[in-house]
Amino acid sequence: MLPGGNAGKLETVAFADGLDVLPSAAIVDVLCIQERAFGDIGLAPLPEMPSEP
Amino acid sequence: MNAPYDIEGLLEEVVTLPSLPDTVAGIMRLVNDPDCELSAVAKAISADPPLAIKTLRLVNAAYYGLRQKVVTIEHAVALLGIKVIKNLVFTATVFDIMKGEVDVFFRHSVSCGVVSQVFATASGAVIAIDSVEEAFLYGLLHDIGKVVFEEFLPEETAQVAQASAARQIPWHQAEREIIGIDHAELGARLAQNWKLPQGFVDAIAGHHDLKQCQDPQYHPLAALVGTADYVCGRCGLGAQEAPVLDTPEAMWELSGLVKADLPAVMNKVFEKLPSVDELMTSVG
Repeated sequence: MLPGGNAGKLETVAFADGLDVLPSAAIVDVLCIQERAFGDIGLAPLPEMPSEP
Repeated sequence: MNAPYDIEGLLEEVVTLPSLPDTVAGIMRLVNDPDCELSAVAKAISADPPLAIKTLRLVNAAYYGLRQKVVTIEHAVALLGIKVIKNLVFTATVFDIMKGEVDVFFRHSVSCGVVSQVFATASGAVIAIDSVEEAFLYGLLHDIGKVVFEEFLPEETAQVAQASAARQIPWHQAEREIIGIDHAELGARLAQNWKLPQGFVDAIAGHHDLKQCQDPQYHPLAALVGTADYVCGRCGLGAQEAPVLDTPEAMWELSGLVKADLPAVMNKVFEKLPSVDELMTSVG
């Protein structure tokens, strides 16, 4: 868990039912943004989401 | 724009690839000998005190999770075994080569090593590596060609940065347009010169484009490093300011990472990333 983070929160991602249809990159993007939004990991600014999955 | 080079022309006219220090090359030969004895490996490492100190500092980094402090190379070799020690010696050497680079590049390389190791642990694919610890080295080395470009072609590298940012194209594509080859091709040649196993050569060559692998058995390994590279970019730990393009789904599938497992795998990545700074300073 990153500093300031919220242990275990990623297991509850809202789109879990759609995991098998989302591109893997999109899944990772959402997880990264979620972690950085809620976990305050203090890295570089959030990357832009891709315009197309 | 300069006339593009091919790799032979570049190596003949411009670039002198760095060589591995003699002591490290000797240790690598020694550990690759199935009959080598632990004491001989420890003696070879101890004969190079700066290398021995850096190796011990790495051994004792929290990242490796040892419960007891290790103060001698003999102890480290006996405790960890030759394969792990070989990786640590090589890591310490590559860290030395990269330390002169800008911090963001070094941090990206170490991060990619950490993520590659997490991915190798989670992968369901047949990844042609000796151990998951070795996966760290593949990630660490994947962009080593950029170090050489930066040293010998600084003006062209600046042009690459400008083109990549202005046109929103991947860094390696800008390299091919401006220099004629990309860092993956050059890094693979460096790995060959260092007489590293073919897996290293192909993981470096293919981390942006699997077709660049010479041996298809290393496609999953190259895919794993490519996806780790992507994740680092998305975590704000890219090698430089450049667009992070989505890794093709085929590469994800080859890496052996299962979509349903990605949240748990990424949790591991997020847990491990804070250790990057500690690793970076462990051989300072």
